[in-house]
Amino acid sequence: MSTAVTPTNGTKSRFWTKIMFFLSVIGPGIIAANADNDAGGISTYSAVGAHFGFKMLWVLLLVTISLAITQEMGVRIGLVTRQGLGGVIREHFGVRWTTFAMITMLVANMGTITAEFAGVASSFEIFGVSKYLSVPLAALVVWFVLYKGSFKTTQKIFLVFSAFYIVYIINGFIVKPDFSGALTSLVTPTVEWTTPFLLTMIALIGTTITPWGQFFIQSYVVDKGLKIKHYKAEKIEVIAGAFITDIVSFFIIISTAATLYKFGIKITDAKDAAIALQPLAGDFAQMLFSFGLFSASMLGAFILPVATAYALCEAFGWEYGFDTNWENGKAFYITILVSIIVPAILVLIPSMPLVKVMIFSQDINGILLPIILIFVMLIVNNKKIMGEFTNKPIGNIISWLTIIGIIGATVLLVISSVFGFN
Amino acid sequence: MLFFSNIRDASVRDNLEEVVGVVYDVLINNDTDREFPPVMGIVIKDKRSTKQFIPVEYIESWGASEIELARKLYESTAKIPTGDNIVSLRDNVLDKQIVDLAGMRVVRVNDLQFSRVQQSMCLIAIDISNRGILRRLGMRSHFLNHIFKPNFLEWKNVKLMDNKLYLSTGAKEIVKLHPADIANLIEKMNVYQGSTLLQSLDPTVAARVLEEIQPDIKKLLVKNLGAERTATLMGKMSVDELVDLIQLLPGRESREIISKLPLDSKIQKVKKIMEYDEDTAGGLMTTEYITASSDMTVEQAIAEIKRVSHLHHSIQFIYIVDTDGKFLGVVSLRNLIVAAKTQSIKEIMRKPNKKLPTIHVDQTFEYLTRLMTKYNLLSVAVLDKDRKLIGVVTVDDIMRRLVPTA
Repeated sequence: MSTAVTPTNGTKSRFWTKIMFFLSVIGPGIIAANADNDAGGISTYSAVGAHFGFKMLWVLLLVTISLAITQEMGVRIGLVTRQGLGGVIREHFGVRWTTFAMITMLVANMGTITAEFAGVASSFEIFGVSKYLSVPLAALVVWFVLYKGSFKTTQKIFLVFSAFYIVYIINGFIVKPDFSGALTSLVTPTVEWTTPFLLTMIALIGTTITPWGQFFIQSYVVDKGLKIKHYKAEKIEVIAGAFITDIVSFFIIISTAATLYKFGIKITDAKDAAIALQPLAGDFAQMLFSFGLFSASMLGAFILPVATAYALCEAFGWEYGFDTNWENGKAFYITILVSIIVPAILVLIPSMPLVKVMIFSQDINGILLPIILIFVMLIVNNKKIMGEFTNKPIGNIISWLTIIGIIGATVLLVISSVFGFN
Repeated sequence: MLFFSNIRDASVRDNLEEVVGVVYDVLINNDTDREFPPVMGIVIKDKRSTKQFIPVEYIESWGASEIELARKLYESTAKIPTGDNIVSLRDNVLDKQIVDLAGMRVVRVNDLQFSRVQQSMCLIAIDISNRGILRRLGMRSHFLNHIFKPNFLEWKNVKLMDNKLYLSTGAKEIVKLHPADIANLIEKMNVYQGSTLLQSLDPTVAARVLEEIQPDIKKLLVKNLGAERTATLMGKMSVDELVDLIQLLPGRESREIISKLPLDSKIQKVKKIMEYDEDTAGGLMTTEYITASSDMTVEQAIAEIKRVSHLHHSIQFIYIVDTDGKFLGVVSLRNLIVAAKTQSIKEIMRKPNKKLPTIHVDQTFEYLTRLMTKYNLLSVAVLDKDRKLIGVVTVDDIMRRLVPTA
């Protein structure tokens, strides 16, 4: 591997060359990070603020740093190996470990897709539209667009929609929160030793750093044909992406903290979460929230089944991609179908608590995340695979602390729910 | 049937039936021209977890879960052999990607099959089926075997490329295919595999292959290859394909590539054609054709064709011009063959007339297509305003234009 090469041009155009170079690689980090604020994300962040005020902001700060670092590792592995995470795991850990990793990913992703459909259901229920209508319809649209239409265009459309998050930032200023208190909380660790707190905290971690996000970012840089010379630019993008997304998360939390937490309102359905937007949107708050939740859910519902199928097929050597026909790409299309249908059916179970589903699915993601991260760590530190691009000590320390932190929180959660010390 | 999944981790017993280790890896010799590469030996992990190599001669029997040695362990080991032709199945083959030539698909090595061929243990085939995956997972059931069909690739049909992480169809086999088929294959691969394959080909073949690749993929490949390598390939391409390719690329890149092209008459021709609009006869034409003077005899003309033949992809006609380059007529190969050797070209050439039209360099693509269809022309001479011959449009150029993705 050669080291990164920067194009040398005339001094005048040098700046623009650099800008163009940067723009040409943009996408993976921003999209992956943005898609983090999906149905599970919005509801978890809302719940974090509504139920615990500023108390968990310090977790958000730490998790943002971890997100930047884990995503950067994904990018690096992708650039060096030119394969998705599923493929690299298969080549270096064999079939058994691959099966284990894939089952882990499948469970986590199914959970997240269930959250997306729950998000669709919630956003329509605000207007009194039954989930028995909205969810099957959304599932049909997702399948139809993926099978017949253009995945990339759709993805872009919903990405534009998700600019909706800016309203949270504006809202965050309108509610006139206690900014100094919020900033202090960012660096002041506070823990409640209760099951709800630990459960929400794991969901907060699990919705920000996700197993699917690790697979997605790596496949994305491979698919985009990026090379190691793009590494520096891509690194900047990933780090920027992580912080931009979490700035949104930060404002969701302080918005709900200033509106719901203050009055002790617990979030039980999407209408409650929408209250947070009232300072900005007044009577339109519910409509605005519903629209945002819907587009975020749909973005996730489009990306996740495909990301799942890509990883699975790459790992097991099945044909994949939308240019394969049904006969050759059977496994690919069936995976997509199953990961649309099963979650949709789960959401349709009568009296399924939608908000709880959205948050609980993020707990599953959080609990399973260490497994995927350990694979990533073993790969990224393997000289045989990464050559000179193995981790620096600082990356290792932060990543292992993240892994240990989540495992620790999970163990505490189990202990707390068994012995019930709330 | 003996599979790698059976041998791996199988216990190894010495001649006294004592377990001395477990199988870690199998090495094969991939150097021979034999259809099936012979197994050189196994690498085992002994009781102290040290790796030891046991040459195949010292192995008494191969069982599905047990391997027996002919002697004691310390009498059976040798240095682990190294070399370009020695392939570790565990490190270099198992679980890697293969591009399957027949189906043009990307699959993975799920398992490997061995068998005895003329007394020696050889690697026979690669299992790419889901049965292989199940076998690796230790699952064996009749029910699952009913669902999943066996699917093997013969080792001889698969080549190890640059001994890197994955297997791919090797250049040796692949050149037997038509460039258009290789192009299809490359279109199915990702950019990296595609450009690796392209680079492994002989430059002349690679140039032909590159010509056949879909425009958008071609663009990506060229980007990936870089200006220098592309220029080398482009030096081997015909002038009109070269022009197509250059027109495909953004200005900065194409200038960079042109600057790296070997300096010869070709580049002058390229620059000349690029002055014409893509949608006109001038933009479509090639400047590679054979000219002759009308005073030549048939014998001389044939000698001339023989002399320059290697420079051309195909020759259907030779074009007759005067000393100023003015177009006089055309002679088909057929005319040349049936004519007497001593006849002069003037006598057998067809002069331009209504049935043998020529075309002006600025005429549109539509006009050109209609003209060629109407008169069933395989090619048509392109003239400038002074009726000088400046190029030829062949039916290939038209087809390429109509169906760019084929």
